[in-house]
Amino acid sequence: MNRLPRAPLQEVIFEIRWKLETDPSTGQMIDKHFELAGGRLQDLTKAEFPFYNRKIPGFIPFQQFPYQIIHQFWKGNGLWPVIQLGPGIYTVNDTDKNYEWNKTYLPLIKKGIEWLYQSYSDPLEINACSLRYIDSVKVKEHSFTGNWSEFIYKNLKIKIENNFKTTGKQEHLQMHQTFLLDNGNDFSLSINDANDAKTGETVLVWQTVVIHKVKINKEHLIDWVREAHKTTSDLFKEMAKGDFYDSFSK
Amino acid sequence: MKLFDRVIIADEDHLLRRVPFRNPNFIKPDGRITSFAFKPKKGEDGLSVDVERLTDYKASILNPEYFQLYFIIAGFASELELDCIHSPLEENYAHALIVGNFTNSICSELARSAQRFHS
Amino acid sequence: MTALANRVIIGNEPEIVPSGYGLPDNFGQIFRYGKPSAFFSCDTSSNFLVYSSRMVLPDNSRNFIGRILSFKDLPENWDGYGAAKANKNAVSNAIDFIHKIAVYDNPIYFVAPGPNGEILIELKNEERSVEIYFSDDESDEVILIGNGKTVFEGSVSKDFNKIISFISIGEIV
Repeated sequence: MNRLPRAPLQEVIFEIRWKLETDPSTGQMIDKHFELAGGRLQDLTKAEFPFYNRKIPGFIPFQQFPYQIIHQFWKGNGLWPVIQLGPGIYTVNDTDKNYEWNKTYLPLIKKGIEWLYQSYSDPLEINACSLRYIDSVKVKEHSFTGNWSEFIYKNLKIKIENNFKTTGKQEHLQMHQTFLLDNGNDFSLSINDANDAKTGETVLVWQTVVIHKVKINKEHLIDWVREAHKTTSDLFKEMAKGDFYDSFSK
Repeated sequence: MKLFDRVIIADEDHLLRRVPFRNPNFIKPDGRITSFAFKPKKGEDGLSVDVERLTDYKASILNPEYFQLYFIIAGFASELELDCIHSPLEENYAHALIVGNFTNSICSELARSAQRFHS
Repeated sequence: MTALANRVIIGNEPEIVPSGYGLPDNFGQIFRYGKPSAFFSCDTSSNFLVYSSRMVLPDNSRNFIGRILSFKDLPENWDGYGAAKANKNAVSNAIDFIHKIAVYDNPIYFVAPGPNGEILIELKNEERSVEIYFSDDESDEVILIGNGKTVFEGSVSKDFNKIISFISIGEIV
């Protein structure tokens, strides 16, 4: 897909999770090799991702945060993309500024997977992975009239209709759908309104996520993410088809 | 008094500063005042204060419905490498300027040293 | 809505802000926002957080956000010494910070506008306080104060974790 000059993409996240052990004395889930892996990953990424940030303050033990991000390795201070690691979780994130699936993001995912496996001395039992796209538009740039149902139907082809007499004017809207795909993956679609914290402008946010919830080997991850990307890409074009999609090309 | 009758500000002099207490309220819940009470406006020659011995409460406070008066000791400002200079104005002989580098940290220290001046 | 939930900063500035949930009880409700999605707690891995219209900020945070917004409406010379109105960039950055800090259960203690359009936010815990200055030129400054003395000066972007550790446990980590 050619790069859209005004794409609504705000963040794309490729995420891997692996099985953690349970500490018999505390019942807590632990990633035994996390501390060492963090150091190794920093070494491996530092040439390309030299700016490090610890997402959870250092005085809180990291083992309190299973499946939450602790370490971030950024391209630079304030610069995307970012590689993230936490106990049992690893992500490769980027934004629209750099994103081109074949040229930049897929190669980064491939490299990122290698870095992860080099960081951990024992094999990881990957038990889930996902590819998530977070998109957003400022509604005033798309002729928003104040009617969310109408706006979402017109631009994303999702019809939300209240067939009962509502007692007031609709102010906000939020919805979440999940689908089981033929290939066994789950697909999640979420939509909600929000406000730009800097300008106060009203925005519409939608997220599309393809999720794989069972064990997967490293060798199959790239094929999986390619397929997940095709699913989300096709869906995005289908949902936004028409004036909405065309507006991203202008 | 003639405008050119400037006085030397002594270390023990009290320098008065108006502090708003409505919206915005520069007085914190514990009674201390914010550092912004001692932050000069950009482009100004220094921080405007009144020399207490050259004025009185009523003249200095301007409007007691909106302001309280606080004072700092001139010698403390000097310890922070600020200079206190009597700079009388036509409408206010007690006017002085504290000049120097008003970083947020310095303003914070001035505010922490400030005490309420009562009528 | 998936767990990514409720805080958005639109624009591609990276926002190094923790999210997620599931802390043990002794940390209290540090992470209030979002709930587990049906599949993942995906909010943990995104740096793009949404300010939803339905976001449930603590009352303390909402009150201070309201107060900061009111500073934009101050008249010129509101301090009697020629002060300018609050600068919109300073206001915006200050509000962002309140959203970020809200997850750490450290209530805001005090806010004030400055004479040059700046905004000050102060956190306080016993004898420790943190003063955060947001300037009209989009820069920011942090001063950590313990027992009435300045112990550290830095910036929000570089020293956010120090702010949290100092105000929470009195250590600069």
